[in-house]
Amino acid sequence: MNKKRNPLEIMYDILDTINKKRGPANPTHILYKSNLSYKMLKDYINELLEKDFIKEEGDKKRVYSLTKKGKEYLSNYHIMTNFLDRFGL
Amino acid sequence: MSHILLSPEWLFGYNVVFKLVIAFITAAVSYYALKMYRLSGRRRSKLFSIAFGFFSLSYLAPALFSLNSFSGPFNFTVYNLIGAYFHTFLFILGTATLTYMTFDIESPRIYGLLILITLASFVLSGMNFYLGYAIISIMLFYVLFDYLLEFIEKKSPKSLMISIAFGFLFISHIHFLLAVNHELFFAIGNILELVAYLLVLINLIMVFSK
Repeated sequence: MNKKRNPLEIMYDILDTINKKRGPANPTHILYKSNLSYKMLKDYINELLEKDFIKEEGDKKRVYSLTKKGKEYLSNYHIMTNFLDRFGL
Repeated sequence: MSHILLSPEWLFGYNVVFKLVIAFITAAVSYYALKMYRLSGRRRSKLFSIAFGFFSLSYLAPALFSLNSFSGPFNFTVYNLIGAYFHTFLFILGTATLTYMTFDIESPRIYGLLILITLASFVLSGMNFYLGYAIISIMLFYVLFDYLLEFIEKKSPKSLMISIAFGFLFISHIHFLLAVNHELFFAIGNILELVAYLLVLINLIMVFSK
C-alpha cells in the first residue's frame, strides 16, 4: 500500500477483512490484515458500529461480523467511489 | 412581473418533452446520490441529492402546467407563466443547495439564510424572472468555479465531465437572461440546457459501465 488511503478505502479494507474471514473476526485479526494502528482501528470500529455496517458478537471476547448494510457497502463500493469521483463529491 | 423566459409557442411540445427528459435525468442522479450518501456518509453527496431533487421538481412542475394547458380553463400563456415561476423558484432552491455544498462548513443557519435571501429577492422583486435568473447564474458560476478549482487541484480527470455540464448549464442561463423578447435566445438556452443534462446522464451511465 503505497499511497495514503482515504476513510472510505480504510472502511472497505476492514469490512473486506471481516468478510473474508467467513465468520466473526476479532480485533487482532482485523488490525493485522487492515494495516492500521490500534487507535485508528478503534475509531473506525466505532464508526462502523454507529453506521450499522458491523455488529459486535461474543460474550467474553469481542468479535465482529458484517450486517446487511455492511455487505451492501462491500458490493457497491466500486460503484460508490466511481459515482463520488465522477460527480466531484 | 416581467415577460422574459416565456416559452415561444412554436417551441411548445418540444419544450415539454425536454423538461420531462431532464426531470427524469435529475431524479435519477438525485436517487443515486442519496444511495451513495447512505453508504459513504459524505455531506456533499447528501446535498447534491437534495439539489438535484429540487432540479427535478423544477422541470417537472412547468411540464405538468404546460400539459394542463390543453384541458385547463386558462390559456397557454397563463400556464406558461405559472410553470416558469415554479421552475425558477425550485431551481433557485437547487442552486442555493449546490452553492452551500461548496462551502466546507456544516451550518443550517447559513443554508437557511442563503435560501431566504435568494428566494426573497426573487419573490419580492418587480422583475422576478430577470433577477431570479441573475441569481441562478451567479450561483452556477460559483459552483462551476468550485468544480474547476477541484479539478485543477486534485487533477481528477473523472470530474471533468460534470464540470463541463455545469459550464453548459451556466451558459444556458446566461441565454435565458438575454431572452428578453428574444425567442431565439430562449430556444438556444433550452438546447444548451439539454446538452448539459445529457452530459450528466452520460456521466451517470459511465459510473455503472466497466
